Amino acid sequence: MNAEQKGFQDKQYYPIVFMLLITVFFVGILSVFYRSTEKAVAAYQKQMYQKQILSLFADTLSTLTGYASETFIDKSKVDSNFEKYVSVMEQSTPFSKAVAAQYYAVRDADDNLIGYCFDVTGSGLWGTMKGLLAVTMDFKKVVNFAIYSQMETPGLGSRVEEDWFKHQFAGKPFQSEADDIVFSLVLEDALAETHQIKQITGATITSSSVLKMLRVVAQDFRQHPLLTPSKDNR
Amino acid sequence: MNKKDIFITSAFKDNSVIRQVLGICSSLAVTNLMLNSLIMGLGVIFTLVFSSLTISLIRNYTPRSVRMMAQVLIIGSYVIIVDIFLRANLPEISKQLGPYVGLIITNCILMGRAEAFSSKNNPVDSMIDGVGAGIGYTLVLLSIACIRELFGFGSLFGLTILGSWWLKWSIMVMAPSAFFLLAVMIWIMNDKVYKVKTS
Amino acid sequence: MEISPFVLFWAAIFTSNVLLTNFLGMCSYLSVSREMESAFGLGVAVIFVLTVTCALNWLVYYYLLVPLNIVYLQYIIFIIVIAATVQLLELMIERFTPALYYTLGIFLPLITVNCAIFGVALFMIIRNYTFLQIIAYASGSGIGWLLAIMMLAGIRSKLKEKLIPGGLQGVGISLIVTGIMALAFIGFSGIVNVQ
Repeated sequence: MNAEQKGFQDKQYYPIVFMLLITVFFVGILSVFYRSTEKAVAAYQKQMYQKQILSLFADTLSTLTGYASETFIDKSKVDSNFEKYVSVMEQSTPFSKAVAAQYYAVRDADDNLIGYCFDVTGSGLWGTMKGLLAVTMDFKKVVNFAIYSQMETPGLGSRVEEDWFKHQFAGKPFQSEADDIVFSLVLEDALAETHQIKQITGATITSSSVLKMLRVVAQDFRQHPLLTPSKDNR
Repeated sequence: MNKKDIFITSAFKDNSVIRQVLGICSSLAVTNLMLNSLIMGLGVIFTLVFSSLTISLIRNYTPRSVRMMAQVLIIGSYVIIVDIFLRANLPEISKQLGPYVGLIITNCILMGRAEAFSSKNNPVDSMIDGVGAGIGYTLVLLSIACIRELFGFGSLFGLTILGSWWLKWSIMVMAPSAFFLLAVMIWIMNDKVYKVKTS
Repeated sequence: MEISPFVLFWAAIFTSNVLLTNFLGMCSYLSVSREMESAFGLGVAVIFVLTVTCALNWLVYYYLLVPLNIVYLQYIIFIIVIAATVQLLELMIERFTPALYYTLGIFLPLITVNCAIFGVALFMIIRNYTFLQIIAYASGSGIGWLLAIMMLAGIRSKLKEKLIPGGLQGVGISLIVTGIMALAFIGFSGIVNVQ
């Protein structure tokens, strides 16, 4: 380093200039990188989301249309399947903080309504959990349920996204005229009755958070306009 | 010191976790499964290599008063670049790594190597030191995870080793077990390998 | 979320202790707990940095990052805010309490990468805390961290180190003691909701 360079570095403002320079440099690289991948990432996430909704109804649609379940979750056909079988609806009057305003009505090939799919939210151990809840038209039974976003402990709480955990909810009762349906947890190795859900070993809090989320949603659904007798079902 | 010595020192003689007591937080969080440890380890190695290189390249221009801010900025940038790259090209792996991005940025090992080595040595040596530190760290993580996953889940890397006859040790699933295992590991290493004298 | 800041404050100290429940902030905790005085000094520094940086980061996130749609820079911005605050603190401590400056040594600047500080900042985002909630939670977390390091320092000062096997002295026994404390704190889990 020659004397001139050293002189510059001894100036008072040099640290500030230096920090500004490298901040601009690295933030610039990050921004370019992010923006160039933003669309691809968003498109991928949207496709995954739509695929998830279709997969919740895959078995039902398969029985009704005769096509194999796999065709409904085929990656290349997600867009066309989504357009064919799912309509996006918007709930104008918000009735619950746990349920998103936008929901999905799923119909079969002849345009008959099969059920609804709602985007539900709840808090887990570490952060917010989001799931898709598919219910029958009269809201009495769960068609299927899947968590699609969570921040739980990898290898433990994150197992809520595993198939065996999600499939436990298929066919379970969701709402009844009388009391609220309450699920309780049993051990992973045990047998589960109708009102019982197998928990994830070592992830009790995450497992109960899932149940709590569904309980809150079921309670809030009592105010859902679609269930109020005066409105007609679409 | 020649290149081989640098590597041996940073990976084994001066192991970041056992000898320097750095990178403990992540050692507790990710060692529940061997796969998580491997992913975390690879993330740390990758970031170490590039941040060591960059910090070493600009070491003669970095003023002393802002050197920590600069180091942290560089380390953070590389971690996020990795995260964005994975999210765009390998989304499945990105989902696994997602929770750890924050843990890698604040991993004391990265800052520790930057302060202790990269800011004072040439780029090639710094990279070797970075790789060594990362590999040493990953090996410690994998050793702890091996025991935790085997006794807690009965599997290794997801493959079931012990059948359903094995009663899973719940404590191995919880984080405190990592404390005890790491303590025992340090004990054994200090006694047998480093030959620390009793005071 | 509608959790009272007061509840969050106490929960952050005891039932969701940032160190013994969430296992953040270990490195400096293990190394500086040898003497109670330096442990106390570091703990107070952590309280200061946690509260100030979380408040700043909250403002930066909701008034700068979100409106400008640059949320992806949050990690970088947060860590720079933390680094700048620690740098400022280092200058202050060097000027006013030089004794503490020399005892803490490298661990003062290492507060920058203390996962507890970064972790609490990330918690505040994913749990959607309001400004009052984060002030309560951050200061409580700092006090909780101080509590944990003082507990360990106190225990270490009582341990007759020469009775401990050579390889286990220092870090080894600290880890075991911390592990036992963490197990005890598991008893608190689920008592108070922090989100």
